[in-house]
Amino acid sequence: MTRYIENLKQFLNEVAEGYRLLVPRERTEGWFFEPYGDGQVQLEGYPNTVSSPKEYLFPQTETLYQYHGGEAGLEYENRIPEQTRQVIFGARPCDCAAVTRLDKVFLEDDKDPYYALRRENTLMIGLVCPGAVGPNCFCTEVGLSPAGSEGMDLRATEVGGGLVIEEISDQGAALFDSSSLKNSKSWREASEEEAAEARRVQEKAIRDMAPARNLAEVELEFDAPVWAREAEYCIGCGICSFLCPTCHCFTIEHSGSKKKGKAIRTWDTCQFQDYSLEASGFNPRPDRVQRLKQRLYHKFKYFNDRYGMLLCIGCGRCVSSCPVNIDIRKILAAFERKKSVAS
Amino acid sequence: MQPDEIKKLLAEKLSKGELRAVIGYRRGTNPFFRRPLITSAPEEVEELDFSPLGVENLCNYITIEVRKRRNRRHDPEEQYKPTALVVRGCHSRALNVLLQEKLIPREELFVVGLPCRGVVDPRKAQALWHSRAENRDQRNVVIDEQGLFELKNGERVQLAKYEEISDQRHDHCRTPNPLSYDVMVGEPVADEPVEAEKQFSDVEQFLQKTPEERWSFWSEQFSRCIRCYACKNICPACSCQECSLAKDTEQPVDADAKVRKTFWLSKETDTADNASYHINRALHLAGRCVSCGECERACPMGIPLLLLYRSLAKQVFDDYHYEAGMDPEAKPIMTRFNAEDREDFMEE
Amino acid sequence: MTDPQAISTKVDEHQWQPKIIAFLCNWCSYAGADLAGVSRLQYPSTVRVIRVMCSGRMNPSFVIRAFQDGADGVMVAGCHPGDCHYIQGNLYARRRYALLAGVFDFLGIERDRFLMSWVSASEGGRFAGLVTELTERVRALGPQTQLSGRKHATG
Repeated sequence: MTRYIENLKQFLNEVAEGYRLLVPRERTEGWFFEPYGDGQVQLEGYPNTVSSPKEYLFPQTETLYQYHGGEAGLEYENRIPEQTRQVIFGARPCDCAAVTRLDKVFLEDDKDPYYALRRENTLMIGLVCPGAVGPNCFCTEVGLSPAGSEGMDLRATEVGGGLVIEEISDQGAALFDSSSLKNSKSWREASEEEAAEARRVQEKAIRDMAPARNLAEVELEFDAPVWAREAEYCIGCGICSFLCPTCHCFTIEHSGSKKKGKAIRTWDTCQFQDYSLEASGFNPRPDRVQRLKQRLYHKFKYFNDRYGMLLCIGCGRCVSSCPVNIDIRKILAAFERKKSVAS
Repeated sequence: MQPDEIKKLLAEKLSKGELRAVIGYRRGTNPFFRRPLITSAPEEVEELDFSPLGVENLCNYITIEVRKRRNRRHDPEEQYKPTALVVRGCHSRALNVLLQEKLIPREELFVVGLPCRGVVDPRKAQALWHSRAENRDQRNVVIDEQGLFELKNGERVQLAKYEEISDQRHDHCRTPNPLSYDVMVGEPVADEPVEAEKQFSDVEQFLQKTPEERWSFWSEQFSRCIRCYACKNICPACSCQECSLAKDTEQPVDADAKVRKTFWLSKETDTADNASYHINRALHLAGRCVSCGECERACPMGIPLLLLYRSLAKQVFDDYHYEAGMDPEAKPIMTRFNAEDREDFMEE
Repeated sequence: MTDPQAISTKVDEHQWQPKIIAFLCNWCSYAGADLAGVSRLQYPSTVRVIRVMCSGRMNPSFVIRAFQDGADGVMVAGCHPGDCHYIQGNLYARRRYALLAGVFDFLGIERDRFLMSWVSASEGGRFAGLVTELTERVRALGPQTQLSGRKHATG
């Protein structure tokens, strides 16, 4: 069923009764996903968030296990996350498509139990973009769409002051069977006109963002001069990777003593100088140029070769937040399209 | 010298092989601030921009270069040609800090001093653009000394006056004119800067909060830190080969030594660890931070770091009447002591 | 200053006890603490002493780290100015800890948890008094949570 929500606040209040609800909020410092809390919701002017919602599936820091010294030696306690059901409301189509890519990494070969548990308990209510919402959006250049439903459980489109909600997955549909929503007045079936208007909004957004090029076709050249040129400016921080919805590198470290301690997993980035430092002391990526190359190759070639999809989802956060304005779109522009095979 | 003359001079010097590189600002794809230009090609010098959108503290690239040289274990006798560097007022103080700490000899720098009449606050400008522009496509952004404009059908439509996009955090500026330079862009700023005793009104205002209010504010801010280390990496004063507070740098070179090395912090981003990172870094910057504000500009979460570092600058000023980077020959304040240093914080 | 003899120093094991870390310089303050012990002066057993060669060797990071690891109070003591075994180590320390105290104040971190003083080798009583003073202040404040990340007192 396609539904219509007139009173968003009431709907979200009802969702919050059964789920941990995360919504985009405007702070002086920018828009961020935050817990629903006191029930403030304001989508007017909402572009995209500064940092991506990936932290709710793959947190910056999490404890993997703890240990303490017992009579029989060390006793371990796995710290699999609690089974809190959560709804991420208002994630843009690019961020939802990012989740599909994270799923490939964390679920496909060996299931990561920490990610898996959070993932199973997360519902994505995506919000269609009326066009390019962020300052540097380019999702259509990486084969995605401002109205796409990839990675969503429900898709919301702003129509007539309310939202048209389309079911994308079974879990999404099941949300409306929950006790707080089942007989609620906060939603009703959408009219034909409302559903049609939603489709028009989506199609217009796609037209407005018609891509100038297809970045999947770009042939990166390993020895091109642009790498060294751009890497010269890089300060080696983690902003691009940490804000990126698909970057997923992590490091595990231990803290504590013989008596008591824990292992924690935190985000890591290939842009840090010591990221690929080996035990021998050799570092295969000693300079920023190799590290910059690695990042773009991973996003635009290696991941694509392995999984058949680009790792970059075109949200533009790395471009917006890079303190020295390194722009991956400009770097890619230095490379010509792959020559098509003569048929 | 006028900007065009400066560009000509620098291009000539590059052509003659008198300079290793020119470091300045140029237009990038972000219309709210200028990106750096580091070039040894004379024809690229034309791109240099001296507008109030050039905010980055370019001395950071000297610090980065020094760290690179240390890593390569180069011949200490090796001579480097001078590097031309564009510095605003506060950046010239940062340069003095690097000179005080003997990171680089003055002869290796050709300083292009840029008198500063204030800079644009990129975050504010972007927020105003986002809320007031009809078509948010950033290719339509125009910023100049009059303010923020939207380009609509070839016409400029004003969205905000310059005062609305200028960075008010720099109202405390003590050195609008670069303290030393080899050439200066345009005319020096004639207005008197704020008096030394009045420069910390921002910190004084914050200190009106109660201790509980202060911690409530800072603990919330620190809880948002993602430890990206942009604040550290954009700061020219953070010149340690290996940071004791961040596990992102390469030294020591072998894993054995690395494992044995004590780190002060884990990478855990709980509020306590984050607070410790920021407190420690603030202490390391006491008497060295020149309030250029890059840490706060770079922070993706918008944490008001400048205020924290200025609280230490205020302490150093109140207690020792010292301001960072005013004199390249001065001995750094924390390497000195005075028989009359205050003890009122101590227990009798 | 609180008279150490007047405060009960018996430890009630069922009640939370503050953990105080005291960084003492080898030549003066540690000797002072030693004298307190030899003189049978009572002071709370809440204090754990770490001996450093000089207060000038002390890095403010030590203090912050102690708080991170769960210390409820931290004390730094060195020789009186002019008496430093290394001539001027304590004079550097004085500047550093003035800053640390100021940063704690600025951030709203409980200032009373940090104490610095000069203690000479002959000031056993003074040392005992300072530890007692700090312990009572910290006891009134409760377990330290701001830099330790703890929500409540743990073992």
